[in-house]
Amino acid sequence: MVLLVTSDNKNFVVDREVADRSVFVKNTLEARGLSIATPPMLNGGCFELTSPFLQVLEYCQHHRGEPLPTTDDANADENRKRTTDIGEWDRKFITVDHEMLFEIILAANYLDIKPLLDVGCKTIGNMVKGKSPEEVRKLFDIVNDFTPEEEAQIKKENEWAEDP
Amino acid sequence: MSVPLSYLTALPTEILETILLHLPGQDIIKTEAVNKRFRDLVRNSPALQHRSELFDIGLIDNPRYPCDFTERRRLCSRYTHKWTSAKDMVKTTHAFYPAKSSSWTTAKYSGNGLFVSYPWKDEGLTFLYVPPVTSQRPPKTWSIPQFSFRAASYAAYPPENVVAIAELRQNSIRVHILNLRDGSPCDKLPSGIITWEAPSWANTQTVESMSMTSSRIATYLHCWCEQLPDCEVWKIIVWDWKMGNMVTFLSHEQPCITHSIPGS
Repeated sequence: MVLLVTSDNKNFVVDREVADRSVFVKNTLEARGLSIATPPMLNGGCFELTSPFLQVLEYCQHHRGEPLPTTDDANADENRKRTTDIGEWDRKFITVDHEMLFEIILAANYLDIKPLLDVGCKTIGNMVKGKSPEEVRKLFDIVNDFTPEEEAQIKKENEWAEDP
Repeated sequence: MSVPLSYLTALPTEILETILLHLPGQDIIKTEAVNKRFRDLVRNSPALQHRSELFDIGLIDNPRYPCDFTERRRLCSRYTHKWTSAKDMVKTTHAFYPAKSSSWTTAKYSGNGLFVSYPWKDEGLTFLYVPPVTSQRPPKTWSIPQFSFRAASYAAYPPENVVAIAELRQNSIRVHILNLRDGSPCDKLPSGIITWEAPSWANTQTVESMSMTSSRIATYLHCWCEQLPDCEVWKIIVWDWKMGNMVTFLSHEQPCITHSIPGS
């Protein structure tokens, strides 16, 4: 067992297998010479995460035991990027409000949980897909910081990419 | 004036880039107009540029395809404005594949254009033809008149200026080896046209069915490669004509070639 402490001082005791979904946690534990063979082991670490952490834990619980993607496998990485579908469970899992979605993405990035990061990125990608720049701005409250001239210039340059 | 916080633009650049990489090329280009952050990201990221450029020349994700060869060439010529020299292109694409630069098979700049090929996992090679930037004349035609079938493939042969255009037929693959300078059959090779005996799968697969999905073609060609270990040195890039994708390549050390029609 591993004890994980969030930055708001909440303690989470989780199985090593669950904690290992995070490459960050896994590497941290391994660097300290803690092996899976020596449970129960309490180990403290501080993560700058609060409520999204529960979500992340749920994800790790569900996907425990699955093979971790190897970081040096460039081919697997390509596959990951180029597969656009999201699994049924993951899709339900990631159906949260914008704030939580972005928090989860940041947490997954920080904890180095690539599959989860990917689910989040794909989800946002699907939101952006097929939308006009105006729609994207509206959806995500993005301020248009172009001058009218700059915007016209970009539109002109990218005119060819519009739908026929 | 208070600015509302956008979660999306608050993300670190690398995450934003990952998100955009999930988009089709057309959408990547569109996001340039969202705000300056997006514009700068898309224009400065080799990976995103790469994807949008592939879209630009119609190799992936392009809803306008399939389109005919002339149209494709027109798009290719549009693509060249982004490069000032062949060197730029090599540099940029290498940046995207730092770990895979050794996988490059061809990156040639001849008087007739640049040919670059590199492997996409499970999608074989992507093969880009970029007409010379400096030339005001339209690039010379390196297709051949009868080259109008559905599924076809291209192969880059190591000597510069030589390209092999492989024609996938139901029972064979014909390879036309052309000199790009003038479109004449290549005299460095034993014959202008070479026919490979069909691999066994070809007996049951028509060209049409082969062009259904790129992965199937890639799979078949890999099988074929295994079946004929004595095959030739050419790298064959299969252009899925219907889908508009370059899908795979073969690289053989020793050919199993039937020399048939000499180049005339």
